[in-house]
Amino acid sequence: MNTATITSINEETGAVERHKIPQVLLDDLLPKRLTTSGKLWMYFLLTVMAIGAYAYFTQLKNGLVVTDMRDYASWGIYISNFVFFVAISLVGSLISAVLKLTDVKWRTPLVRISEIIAVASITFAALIIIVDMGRPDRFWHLFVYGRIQSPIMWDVIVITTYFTISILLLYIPLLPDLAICRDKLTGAAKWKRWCYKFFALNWKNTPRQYKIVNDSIKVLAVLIIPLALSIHTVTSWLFATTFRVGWDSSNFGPYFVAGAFMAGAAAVTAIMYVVREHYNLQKYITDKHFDHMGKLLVLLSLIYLYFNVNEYLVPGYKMKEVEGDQLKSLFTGNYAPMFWSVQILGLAIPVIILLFKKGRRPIPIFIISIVVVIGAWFKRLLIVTPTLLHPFIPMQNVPESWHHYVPTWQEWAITSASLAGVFFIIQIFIRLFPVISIWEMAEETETEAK
Amino acid sequence: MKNKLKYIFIVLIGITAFGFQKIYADGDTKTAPEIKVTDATLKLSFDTTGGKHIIATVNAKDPSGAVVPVKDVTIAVFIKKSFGMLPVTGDNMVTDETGTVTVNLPKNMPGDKDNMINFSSKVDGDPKVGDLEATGNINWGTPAKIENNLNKRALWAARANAPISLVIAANLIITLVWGTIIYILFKLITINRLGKNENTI
Repeated sequence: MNTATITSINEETGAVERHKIPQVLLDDLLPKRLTTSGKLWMYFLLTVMAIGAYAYFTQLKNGLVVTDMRDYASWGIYISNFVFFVAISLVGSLISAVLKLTDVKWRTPLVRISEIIAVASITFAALIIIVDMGRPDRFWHLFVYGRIQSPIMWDVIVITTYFTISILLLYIPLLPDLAICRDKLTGAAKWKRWCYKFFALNWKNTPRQYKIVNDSIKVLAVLIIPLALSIHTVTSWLFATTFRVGWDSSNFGPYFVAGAFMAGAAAVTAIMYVVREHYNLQKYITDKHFDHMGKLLVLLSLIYLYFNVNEYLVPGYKMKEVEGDQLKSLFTGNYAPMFWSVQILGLAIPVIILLFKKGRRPIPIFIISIVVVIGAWFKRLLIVTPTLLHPFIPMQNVPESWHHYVPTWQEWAITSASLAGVFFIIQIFIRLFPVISIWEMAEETETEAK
Repeated sequence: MKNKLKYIFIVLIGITAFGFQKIYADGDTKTAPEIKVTDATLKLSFDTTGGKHIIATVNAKDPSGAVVPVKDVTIAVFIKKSFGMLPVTGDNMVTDETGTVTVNLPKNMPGDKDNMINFSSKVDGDPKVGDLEATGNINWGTPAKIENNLNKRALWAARANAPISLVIAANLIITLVWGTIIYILFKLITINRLGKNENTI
């Protein structure tokens, strides 16, 4: 039998409604085998990850001396990358929770993509922190000897919690689709069938099962919003609770959260374009979705631009001694090309282009989103490193190289591997599970038909 | 006339020479003959007669081997602080004929938790006795109220001394959020059980 049924409860009447899932939805949305380009992409990702693993082996063997991090620039691209991943992960809460609670209907095809991005990003955010540790074998000390007074401890707690809720927000709406996979993909490999059966939790489309799923999603959607704000606010406090130029700011929490939503929205837009084109999902992820995401990205970018003005204009107006040196290094010094590229190419120009309808068409917005995401990555580097290279007590009697920070090949390889890892998780997920929720699309189709 | 001047000059020179000779001869006779001492020691002792006094005594052996006090030795007495030394002798206290220097204990001098004060006395580069040092302690300190900030509940304290408000707030939030997560996990078990027990629609 090539049809499936889903059950839903009418929120207005409370009546149990049954919907047949159109065959076309199953044909379009059930996971497909990897194409040649898909396989090549996987091999590429595995190669990058293998190089990163070798680089990490050399780091484990010789210590953090293989990086360019020294006494002053003690945080480098690992920490920038960590902040970037935490930022990207916020998109899960934006699409799954904020847009759900504000009853935005067009979000349905984007929910699962955004959740898998969130899970993959937060996974590698946690891993990259371990990579940054000189003694990763002592990671467990955090849990045994950690002090609740430390923002680092708060970050560990919040990240673990956010990771768990993101997994649940990915998994629970997946249950009906897992059952569809279990029932329809009978020709799949034995281990896959076992996975579908095991993780489908005996899903049988009963109204009570649907009620539990819907209620759980609502609870998690409410819960994840303060958590999402917390996760990036606490990450910002890792910087803001220290007394250093550029970080000693009460603006940092909202500044980080605004930047995270912008970067996350850009990431989901870029990935939804690739998914749409690669899996021929133009019927589901339409031009309208890109248009909506474009408008959302403009709004988020403008909010972030506002915080940027606050973050740089006020201290720039005062130009207090050491802070002035650090700002000069950003405005006109060593970091000026990167700083202005990020601000203009990664923030101002995208806003201008996306204000026009043509700019919000799939290809332009895809390119803009890629630029915004790249800009977001470098923005984190600009937040982390220039501050560390401008301490209040002048750097004296230290090797000349300690005045600069130029990441080594090991740092680039490990960072690239972590980015590849995020793509790898996304790719594996799409290969195994429906990237767009079949049952929710069926519900939506049914509602539109009425 | 020339001869008269000659005699006067000779007499003056003679008087001058005699005077110089007399002065130096007097000096030699007034200074006691230098006794070379060896094995000098510096000792700190405490006395409560008419107040609290710290007594530093320098003794040494004379050529006959007898222990004698050494006079005119400059001694400094200090009280040991957590970091550094507090001088209590003032300027250039020198030993008397008995080889001692007596110092009054400054008022309200705080001690350690057992009221002990640690003293140190030093002789630095004396031509007769060289460098000497002695230490001693006595419970003459004013009882000190030592506030150990490390034992207070504070943001900078050890993990066991976190501010109680922070501990309550953090645990409350963690319990609420993780309680909800555990509730959702139980709901997943319910979904599984419902699938086993209920009929497929």
